[in-house]
Amino acid sequence: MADPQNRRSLIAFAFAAVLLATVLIMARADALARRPVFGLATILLAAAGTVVALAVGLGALLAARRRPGDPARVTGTWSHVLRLGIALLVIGGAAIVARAALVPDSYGAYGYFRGDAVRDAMRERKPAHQGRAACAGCHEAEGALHGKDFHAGIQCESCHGAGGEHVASVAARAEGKAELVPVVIPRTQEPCLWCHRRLAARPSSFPQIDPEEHLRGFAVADLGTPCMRCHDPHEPLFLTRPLREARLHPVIQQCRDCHAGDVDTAAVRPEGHPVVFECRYCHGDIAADFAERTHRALPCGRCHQAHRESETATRIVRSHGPDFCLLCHRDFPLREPVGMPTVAWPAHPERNPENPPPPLPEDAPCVDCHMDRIHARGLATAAVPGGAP
Amino acid sequence: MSVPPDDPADRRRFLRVVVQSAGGFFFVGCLADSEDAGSPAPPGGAAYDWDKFYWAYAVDTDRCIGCGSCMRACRAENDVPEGFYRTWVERFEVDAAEEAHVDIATGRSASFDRDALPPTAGRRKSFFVPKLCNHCKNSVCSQVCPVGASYQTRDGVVLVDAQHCVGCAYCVQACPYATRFINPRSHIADKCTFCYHRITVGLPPACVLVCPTKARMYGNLKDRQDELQAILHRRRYMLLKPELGTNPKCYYLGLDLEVV
Repeated sequence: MADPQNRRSLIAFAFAAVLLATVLIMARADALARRPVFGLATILLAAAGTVVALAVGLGALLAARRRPGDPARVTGTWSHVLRLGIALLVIGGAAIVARAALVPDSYGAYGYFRGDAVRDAMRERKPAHQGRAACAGCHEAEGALHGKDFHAGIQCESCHGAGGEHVASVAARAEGKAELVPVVIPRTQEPCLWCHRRLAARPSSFPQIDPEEHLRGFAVADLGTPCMRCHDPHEPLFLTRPLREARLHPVIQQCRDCHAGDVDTAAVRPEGHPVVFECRYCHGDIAADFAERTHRALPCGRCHQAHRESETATRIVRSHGPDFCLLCHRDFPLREPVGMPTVAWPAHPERNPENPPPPLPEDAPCVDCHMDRIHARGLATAAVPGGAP
Repeated sequence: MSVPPDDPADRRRFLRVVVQSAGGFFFVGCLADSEDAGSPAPPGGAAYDWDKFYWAYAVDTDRCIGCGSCMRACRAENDVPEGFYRTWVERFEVDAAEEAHVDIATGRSASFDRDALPPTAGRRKSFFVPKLCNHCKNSVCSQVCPVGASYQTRDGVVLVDAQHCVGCAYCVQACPYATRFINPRSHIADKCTFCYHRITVGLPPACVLVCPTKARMYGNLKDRQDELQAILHRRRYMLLKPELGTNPKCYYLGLDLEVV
């Protein structure tokens, strides 16, 4: 087989096979892309090249079989060509069978990918999140309450987790097939703090708190107290019923909730502008009474700390012992006199030695005795529109 | 064995047969190809005509509060394994030396527990940037896939064929936005699917649904009435790494130069 003609024929046939494969691939690519990527001219050129290579190979093969000295006769039979043909047919057939077996039917239906994969992706899973409307379909009261508050735009599933399994289990339970899968009921501070923890990166217009500062500000000892103890998560603008009775206050919009910087409140407000509430609108009697007392120079919010650090409630200082009043009125050694009466606590030496009052616990609220310096009691609820909270 | 005479006419006949049959096979092959490359029915059937949709996404970074609702919802909706994210929220904090510090919310709760920089760092500005697959028009990931498992649907969503993917992670390396990963359970490439199982039945993607401040938006660029188009016509936006020519379809409103 060292005959150079033999080798030439082998090379030519290999070249022809490569060219044929190229032709098939280019034709297939053009058909898949439904536009001429390679073009008919290129493909026809390659096909012609295949034919030429085949012819060259065959010629060389025939030449190799010539007997020396008898150039006009072919020495062998056609059997070698037949063998080559059979080999090509077997290889080509195997390639076609393998391709049919390995390439999915839908491959190339829409592009260079398995067409059925798109449908698979559509049906990969059932939607897990159901949306607020689906929740309100059964939980009407919660849905209605939730719809009225700041949190109206928040999905139920943001706090309660995806409800797909829950909804499916409701139907399954009706048929007696399965137990109800409950949704997550958050019981900690964490879900609230996902949004409302104070972070420098949060937009400053978004209400946010430092939980520790918030709880200390309200004199709550347990810093892990869940937000839900005071705030109804479905109606966080207002506080839960027991706290409403404890006279904590719902938030009201102030200028700074919408406008940056100092706002000239005397400026003419455009028509349709939301009312910016002042305390006296609802608590007129108290405001009038307060104007007669020694503390009248202070704004209401100094004691009823509304909107401090974007917090969503005011507190009423009375219920928290003497600490708050002592912030101003405590007699510290070395403290500069600031022009207001101070008291040494808990000694309270100004108590009348002739007629000592009953011993006070250390956490006795100052206002139990000194309320006359501030404003009369019992006016607040009477002044709230719509009666007592 | 008889030796056939070396008749030039025979040789010509033989060559003619070879050429004719090769040509015949070639044209039959072309015909067969052009048959299955016609216009097959859309994969969604009659309920969803994907030729009427071209999905795009928008993120308003000014509105993002970094709550991580999107990350939790994505995990629940798509069963994403712990420690991997199809979408995530990056926090940028720029210190007094104009150096940006970037971190992401991690863990099951996907929330930020504290500021990244101490108060002494002299924070210049800080903000959140949600990230996800950009569903590029010219997607690198599907171009490099050697087995045709990563592809782009006609409605503009880049997906992975779970049956075909061999997990070679070529696409993971190719994605300039690092949105792909190898799923540790299935060992194949995993990425944001634009919640294809939701958008094709008319539901918003889970991350868009739960976003409390509407910082995440999606829409159909083929629908002139679409809200997203109105936003993109009105607002100024930026793309991530536009210089790469990937033509992302995730539009960022209020993007900072620090963000890449």
